[in-house]
Amino acid sequence: MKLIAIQKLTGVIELVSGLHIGSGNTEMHIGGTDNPVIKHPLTQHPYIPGSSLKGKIRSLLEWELGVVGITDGQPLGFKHIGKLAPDQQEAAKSLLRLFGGAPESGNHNSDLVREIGPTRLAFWDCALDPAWVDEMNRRNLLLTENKSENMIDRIRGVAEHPRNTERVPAGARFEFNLTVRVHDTDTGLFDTVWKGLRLLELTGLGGSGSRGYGKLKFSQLELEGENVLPELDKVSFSVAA
Amino acid sequence: MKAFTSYRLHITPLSPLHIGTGESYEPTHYVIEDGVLHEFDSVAVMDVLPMQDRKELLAIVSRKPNPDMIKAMQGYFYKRRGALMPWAINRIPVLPGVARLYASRVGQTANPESQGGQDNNWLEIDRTAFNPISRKPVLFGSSLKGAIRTALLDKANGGARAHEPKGLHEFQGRVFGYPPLELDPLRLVQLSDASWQSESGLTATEVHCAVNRKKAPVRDEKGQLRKALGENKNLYQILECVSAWRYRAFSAQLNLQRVDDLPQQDKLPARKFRYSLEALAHDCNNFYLPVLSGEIRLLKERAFIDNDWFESIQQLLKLCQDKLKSGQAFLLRAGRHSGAESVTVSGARNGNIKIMRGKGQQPEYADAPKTLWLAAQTKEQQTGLLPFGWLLVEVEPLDAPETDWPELQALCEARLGDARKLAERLEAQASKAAQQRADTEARRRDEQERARLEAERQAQAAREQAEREKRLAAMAPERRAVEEFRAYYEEQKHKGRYQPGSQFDEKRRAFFQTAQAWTDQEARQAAAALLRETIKDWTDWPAKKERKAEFRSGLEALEGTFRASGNP
Repeated sequence: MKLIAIQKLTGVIELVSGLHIGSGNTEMHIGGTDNPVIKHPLTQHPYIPGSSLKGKIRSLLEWELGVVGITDGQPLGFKHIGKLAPDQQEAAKSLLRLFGGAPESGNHNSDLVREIGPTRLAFWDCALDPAWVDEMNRRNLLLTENKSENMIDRIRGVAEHPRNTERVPAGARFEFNLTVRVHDTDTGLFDTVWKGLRLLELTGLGGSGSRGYGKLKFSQLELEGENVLPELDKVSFSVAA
Repeated sequence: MKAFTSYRLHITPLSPLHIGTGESYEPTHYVIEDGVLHEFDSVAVMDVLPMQDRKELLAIVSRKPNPDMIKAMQGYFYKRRGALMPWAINRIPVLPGVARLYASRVGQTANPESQGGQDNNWLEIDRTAFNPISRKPVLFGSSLKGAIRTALLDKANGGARAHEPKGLHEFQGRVFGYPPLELDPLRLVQLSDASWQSESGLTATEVHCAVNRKKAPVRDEKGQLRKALGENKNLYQILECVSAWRYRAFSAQLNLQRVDDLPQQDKLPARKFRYSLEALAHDCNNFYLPVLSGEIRLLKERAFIDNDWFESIQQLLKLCQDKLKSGQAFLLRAGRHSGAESVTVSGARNGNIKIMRGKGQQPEYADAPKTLWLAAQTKEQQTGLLPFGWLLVEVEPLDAPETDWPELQALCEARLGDARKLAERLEAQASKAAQQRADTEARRRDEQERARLEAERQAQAAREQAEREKRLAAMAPERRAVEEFRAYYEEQKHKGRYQPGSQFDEKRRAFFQTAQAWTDQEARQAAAALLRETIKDWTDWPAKKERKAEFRSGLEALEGTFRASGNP
């Protein structure tokens, strides 16, 4: 196995609905939001951590692969490969090639670890597009919004638990970067990448995704300068609905 | 295995809808003119208004913050509306009642509320949820999902009463079979926020009063019709609402997660609660359709209803009936003033709806509310009212091509006459406004250029002054005295005509005397030349003969042409 190239996928992520990736910052500010989003400590600009992207895409691909049931809630790892149906094994290995698998204690199969090789994908943190930041500054707009929410009591008909959540508003643009190690033995890895990105577009990212938050789209996607956006539209899933 | 199925939702609002966000149009950030609210960006205002106006504004905002100050500020902006309106970042129509209220506040008409008591209504208009970037309204996924959850819960509950002492969560848990929370069936239903799609050029929102009315006529001891508590207390809100009948104004996405094929089923919601889109749509219709028809009937009986709206909603229900039946479309009710029947589960609500009574009386608990909140033009209005928050949702699989529904579009269009007229009027204003903005920009650029030149000129003058002082410091004291007096003379001369007997005379005499004490011939002559120049160019000789002669001889002495013994 030989490394033959490190390719870079660059693009723009555009938010379709407000995005909340929580910072877990529990410091209280008077008049501040209950649930802040993660921000760069120096610029105070919100960003999308690479770990959020990687984790969500991996999880979606595992769902799509149908392996969620057998991994007992854990991420797919080396130890699960043996348990899979033969028709799933190749796709599962491909997933491990891309995302890696933490070496599990004890009985891992070192032949398999050698076969899989190093983790191919490196997700970068996504900063806000500087042009977007400039535009917001010029229009005197903030980089985040506060969404108010409450819960309606379905027995008494009253609103309870008012709270607010900070979000990066729909329309915001982030710079997307993903580096891919390509080895001489690798085939078809990019198909899995396109599928992962398309699944991300269909579901979204960050918190409260089932009630509207975090929908996004890739408005630009280039592999080494070549437009690969159409690849996302071509993605088809293993079984139709 | 497909992990989830995605659907595209087209949403058409059927009545005014307000999703509160805690934000409002602050009374000082807009003007209302000709039935249209023009919102402006407070920073842009500072650029547009001339310095004098800005100072005036500063004076107003430095006052004590009370209703008078707010009033003064509203008046201030109203007076300058001509300059401000072209810079509006948002325009929404307001109903005549609201426009009148505003007019009374900016002092255009007699204040109808001034009899007795301080009028504390600052005319804040509560905004409906919006995207801060595009300034277009948004229907939050959380609002839509909440409405769907109510309908699904209602179906699952089957009309039984709620007997759980801990209230909603315990009740929901029993009905849906959780906790643990991962068994909540609604986690398999995922919605996006619904964003504004319409490119019709029509305004997206409008302003309504929300008024409280009794559902059933109740007479008091004297046989008079009782008013609703909110009506009696003159309670109302001014709400910005998404406008009704904007065909497919919003679009959203709904995903249903598919978990049937997973091997481990014990951590997943029960199979009977894994909804297909059709089942979900049916449950929503079974819950909301009776609420809508009941409300229409009630409004008709009480003669509250807006008759045009009534006609249109009848047509709409007829048009949609097949789609509603087949689950391709469903009704939802969302936002403020949806009414207790729409946000609670039948059976469970019995005996739990709090009814507020008059002052000093304990609230009572009933099976249903006794009043409704309706959208009105004025707070006194009794007819022509509209219910809040009705939505028609159409469903298509996301991977199917988008289709159109011309019949629905036509039905909506028939309701949009006024909106179209307004759009045309705003369109006409827009080009004028653009011209005005360009003019203002040009004027501002001119002002800035002038200010820049002026600053440059002052800097130049300061440089020259500094240089002169440096030169003077390097000079002999005599030369410096001459230069200083010259600068003084030129400054005085620049100021205007010579006034005999002014301070200038005194200074000149002092300079004259100083010079006479000098021994340096060159300096003496320079002093004399300067003095002669002041006489020739500005002051002329003293009018008195003796003074003139004295002056002249002094000058000659300085010039070295004076002979002690007589005339030259």
